[in-house]
Amino acid sequence: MLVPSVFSNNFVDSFFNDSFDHMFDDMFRAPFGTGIAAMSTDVQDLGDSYQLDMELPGYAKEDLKADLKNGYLTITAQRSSDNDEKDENGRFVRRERYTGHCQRSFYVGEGVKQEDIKASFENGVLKLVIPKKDAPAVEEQKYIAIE
Amino acid sequence: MMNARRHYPMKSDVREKDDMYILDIDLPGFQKEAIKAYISDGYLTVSATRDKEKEQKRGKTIRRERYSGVYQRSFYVGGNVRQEDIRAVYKHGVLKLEIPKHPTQKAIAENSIEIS
Repeated sequence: MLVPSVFSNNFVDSFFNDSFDHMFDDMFRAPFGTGIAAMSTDVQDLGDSYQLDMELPGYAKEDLKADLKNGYLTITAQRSSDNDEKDENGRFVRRERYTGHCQRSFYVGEGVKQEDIKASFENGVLKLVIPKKDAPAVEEQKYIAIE
Repeated sequence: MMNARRHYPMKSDVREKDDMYILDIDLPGFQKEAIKAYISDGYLTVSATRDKEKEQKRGKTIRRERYSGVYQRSFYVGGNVRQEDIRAVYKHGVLKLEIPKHPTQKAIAENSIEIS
């Protein structure tokens, strides 16, 4: 029997895979509130500290702000208006890159102080090294001394 | 093919100006030397590789969201564009390519058609 190729199993599989599964992936992967998949971040455990590598292509160092409050480290990126891109705009033929405002928060623990966090920005990747100050302190509090 | 996937890297903007096209490609976290661009059969191909050895020296991965595979993407630029005419700059994790539109070549093409 002749069946149009669009009704084959492959089509259905790929349709659902691409449209729905990935949609939910995106929802959970994207930074909360923005709905876009910017600021992709790798987190690594270096033993005594955590290292965050966050992708922020196209932003200048001056466009980034890291803020520590109530144990949450918040990274905000906002392209400044005096960006050198402005004078050479041209007509967009294709636009995929996200160039607006974005923000993302990570819980790092309340024991971490702003001056303990080391931040560097190179080639569009923000690297943050956060010491694990809070972790042992919290664990100690959990235990009740038994005599 | 790449467009079917939602999370492909190398998101790109293409802008058209009077005399050139400007291509901005997101390529965060590379050294300039790790990015390669060339023209072949009218296609401009940009590829980049991560330094795997350097990455493995670091600690245990807790979360991995960044794309870690092979970075490669091609753009059709037409057969008239020569490799040496393209200007490329890598800054803040964005590769910017300026591809001229070649008014001179157009003139040559017009000259070459002679119908008597």
